[in-house]
Amino acid sequence: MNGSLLEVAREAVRLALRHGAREAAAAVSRARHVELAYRDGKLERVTEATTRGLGLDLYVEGRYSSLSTSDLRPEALDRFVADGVAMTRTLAPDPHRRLPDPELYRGQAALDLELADPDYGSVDAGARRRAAEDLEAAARAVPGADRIVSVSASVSDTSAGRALVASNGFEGVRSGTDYSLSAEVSARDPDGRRPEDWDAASARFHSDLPAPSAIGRGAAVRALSRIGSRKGESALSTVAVDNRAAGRLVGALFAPLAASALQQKRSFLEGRAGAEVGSEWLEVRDDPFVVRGLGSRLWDGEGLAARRFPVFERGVLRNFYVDCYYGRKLGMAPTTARISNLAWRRGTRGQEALLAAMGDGILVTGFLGGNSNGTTGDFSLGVQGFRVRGGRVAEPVGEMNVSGNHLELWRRLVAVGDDPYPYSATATPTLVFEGVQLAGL
Amino acid sequence: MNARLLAADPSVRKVNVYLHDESGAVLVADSTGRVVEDLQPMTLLAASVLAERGGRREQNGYNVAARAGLELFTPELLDRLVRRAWERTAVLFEAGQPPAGEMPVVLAAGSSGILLHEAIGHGMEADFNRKGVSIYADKMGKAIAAPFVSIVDDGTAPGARGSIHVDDEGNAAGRTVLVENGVLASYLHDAISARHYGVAPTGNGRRESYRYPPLPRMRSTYMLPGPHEREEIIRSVKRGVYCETFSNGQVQIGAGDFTFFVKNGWLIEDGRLTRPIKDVNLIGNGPRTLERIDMVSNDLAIDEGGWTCGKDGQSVPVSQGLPTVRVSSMTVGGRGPA
Repeated sequence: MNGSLLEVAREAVRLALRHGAREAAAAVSRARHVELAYRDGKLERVTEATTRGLGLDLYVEGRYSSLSTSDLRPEALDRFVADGVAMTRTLAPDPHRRLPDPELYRGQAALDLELADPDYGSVDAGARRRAAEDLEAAARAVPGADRIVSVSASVSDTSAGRALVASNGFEGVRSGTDYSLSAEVSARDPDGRRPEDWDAASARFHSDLPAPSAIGRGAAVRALSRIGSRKGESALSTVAVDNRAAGRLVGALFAPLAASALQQKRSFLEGRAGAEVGSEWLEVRDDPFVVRGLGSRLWDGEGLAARRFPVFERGVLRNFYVDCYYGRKLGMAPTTARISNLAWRRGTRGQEALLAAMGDGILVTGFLGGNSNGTTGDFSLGVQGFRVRGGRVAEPVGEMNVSGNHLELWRRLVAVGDDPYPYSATATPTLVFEGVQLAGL
Repeated sequence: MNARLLAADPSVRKVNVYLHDESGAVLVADSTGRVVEDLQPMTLLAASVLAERGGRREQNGYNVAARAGLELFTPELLDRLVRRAWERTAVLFEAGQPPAGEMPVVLAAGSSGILLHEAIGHGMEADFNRKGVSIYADKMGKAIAAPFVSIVDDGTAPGARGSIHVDDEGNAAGRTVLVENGVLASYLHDAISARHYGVAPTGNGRRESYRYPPLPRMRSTYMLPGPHEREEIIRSVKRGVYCETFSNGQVQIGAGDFTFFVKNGWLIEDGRLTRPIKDVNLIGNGPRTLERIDMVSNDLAIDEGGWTCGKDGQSVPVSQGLPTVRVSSMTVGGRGPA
């Protein structure tokens, strides 16, 4: 399969040069996705889709365009590329648009990242169905399950391949698989509400997935624990953010690290390289080389050889996410355009011990809406979770909000857990912040 | 637009202008022999502005969308777009955070319809009720709001971004009354849920594209005008917030908690709009918030902005509207004591 992807990418680049492009890069991808969804013991939805596509970057007489098509037949491809080159000639010139310096392609790590499960294909319809049944059965077996209104269970897998060819000397092919399990449970609250929550897992290899019953149980326990949720007082409070939920905060901290945000002056982190923006606990590396990692790669979307680099060291900002185009505009050396995997400085304690040390406050288990202003750093986010009293998880709280500014928030990071969330490339641990503004009653 | 916005003020540093113009044609044929066609044009023009004053930066914008072609862009509309994109940005330099906590909330006429979209619209989508997972699942026919509250989801508002002649299952789009004089009246149906409930389809079966199944979805959701006056509503609030523009919202269908994010607004002190506020999330519970709508003005406006609704991984264009409304109490995610 990947051989033919590479052939199509090479052919697209050849055609681009033949039709008059000075340089070109072609990315060709193919993905098969299967998903089975059950609800309350019945099949709800089956999805099976195979998609193919070509993304083509054209550089013609100092002009640039980015095109895409799903029609990869040879006769269609020639016309597509010819039209694309002709259209590119009509655009305004942009001297910063060029392919990456080929030096950046070199030095790829010689590692087997194990991103594709060799047993992909051995999971058949029966196995998916049994997993869905196990998800639901486990949810309905927890104590208090008579309050469950509905259980939805989903089982999915994807196998994807990608080839990238650039006319100045890059060729790469890669493939990967991922599997996921999820369950969502709605429960009946005596006050008339029907609180819902979910649990999920994903992995590159099928054998790395947890048992479906653990996920089904997790979803039910979480949903049932929302019963009786109340709004708490408005206050400045210590706030622990569950490792699963913390990705929302981390996403808002990392988005302004993009060179595009810097160039557009929409980054509260502009000009802060080398400056302290967080506490000593804010220590994060970008690590593309995690074996079986969800965000792992040997080369990035532009073909740049992947490297580990520090983003924050003891609270000090060390690197931005710099792609070649915005890097050229800003005079910054490229790193990579997007996060691969994040590796956090590990705390020494789990969530339970962190809460015990924290005493009183709130454990945030989920965010609801809200937004974060990348230009100013101001954020305001809906939250739900639990009161923490005397170091222990107490009653559920909801319909509350946290707000502040990221430039203050990360300085108040006082502890991190030893519990990186395993089902996301951002691998966030439990994070504990002091003095966070809560809005409620 | 780009040149005019760059020239709007010496503090303007960056401008982005985005123009989208689309001609969609939909044909639905089914095994009963029915063949239905619709033409669904869509035009959207969005401008965002980043300005810098004394080292401080603020960014905001304005956008207009409609079921129309490029004829939409009259000189008057372009003037309005430039003016509002700049005004909404400039006012942020004067704006701060409101206090945190529960307080009265006045929603300006227009895009404040996001309240309805999140607080009740999603919860009235019939699939969630058929599955028993909506907080509105057992409330049909019951009084849930004051008698002057009537809420509709309308596929026929002329030119509105959310309007459609027929839905993606070929059913004529009409005006569905969700709440009539305070009483829950109808869910939003696709063909499956209409058959399940034994009612006529409401023309709410929409899909993002052929790759997705149709689901009950909103079109243009708004509240009908009420008996109060805007000035009277603002005057009635001792201390609260007035919300004018919004960026996004979300809801938990079953728990009923919902949020919307206010980009621009004002503090209300002693019945007057005093200081501008910005970037604050408001959170409430759907049924409780509807109960707390205690004043509705006569100035209904359907917002001209390019709203997009997401559900189950599918995006569809929608519209929303509201007259000026007072909610007696909601949690404002600001800072400092109320």
